[in-house]
Amino acid sequence: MGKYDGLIAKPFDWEDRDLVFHSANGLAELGPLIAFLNREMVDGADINIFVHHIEVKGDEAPDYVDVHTHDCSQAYVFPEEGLRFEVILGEETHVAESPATVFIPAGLRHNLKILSGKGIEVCILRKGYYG
Amino acid sequence: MGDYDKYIVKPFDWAERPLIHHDREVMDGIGPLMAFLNTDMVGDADLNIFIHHIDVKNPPGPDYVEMHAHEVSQAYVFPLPGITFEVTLGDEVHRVESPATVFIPPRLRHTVKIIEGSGIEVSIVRNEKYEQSLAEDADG
Repeated sequence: MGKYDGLIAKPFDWEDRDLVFHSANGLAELGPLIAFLNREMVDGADINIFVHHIEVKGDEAPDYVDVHTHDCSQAYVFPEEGLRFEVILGEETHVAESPATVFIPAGLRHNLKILSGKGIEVCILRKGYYG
Repeated sequence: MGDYDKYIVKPFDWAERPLIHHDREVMDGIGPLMAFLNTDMVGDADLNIFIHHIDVKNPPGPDYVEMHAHEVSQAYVFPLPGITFEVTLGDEVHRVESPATVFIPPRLRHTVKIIEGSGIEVSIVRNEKYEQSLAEDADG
């Protein structure tokens, strides 16, 4: 055991744990939400990271998150091609295709809906827990 | 056009641009480094995000980054299975298989080396420009 072992974290399926503003059923319908970093996984972590494995199987993907805000900035990162999504920023609705990043400043109302495709979304919040 | 179009950005290949402490030519030898977020892409971004697309054809992969530290925290995220990497944290060397996250507190000296496999690495630095985050006299 080294003193820095605790800085290396293995991800785990968030399953039916609560996630404020989000519908667990809607998230799960698209695919598993995996926790990659939070302050419970790594003591002192000031970044919260989820990876959502997404596959839209039907004609229409579910709504799974209410419009909400955070007191810190956030980024949605879609690393590879294959997903089409709709993001609400303030009063504006934008449709975009991956690969892409959406940066959300602290205090800006936002929402996300996956429209079609398959891939991963990396959700990064600039503090150690989601809320 | 709306007020917030500027917050949705397309990544681009960092190509021959320098990245301090990194040997870009060697780094690109295992795959392209893509810029996903920085203050040049979004003026008020306070996160810096790169994604390295990795394919090690002749394991072990090369050394391409010196030991260094930042004044802010950083995370290496390997979201998918398929990569074995070695991370140095202070004077400790750890070998890890993806999927995994490595959290690096401010001022902890570190480096990373890809041993084998293919996939992606997401590097997140909790501030603005990568260069502005570097610490010259670090711990560990």
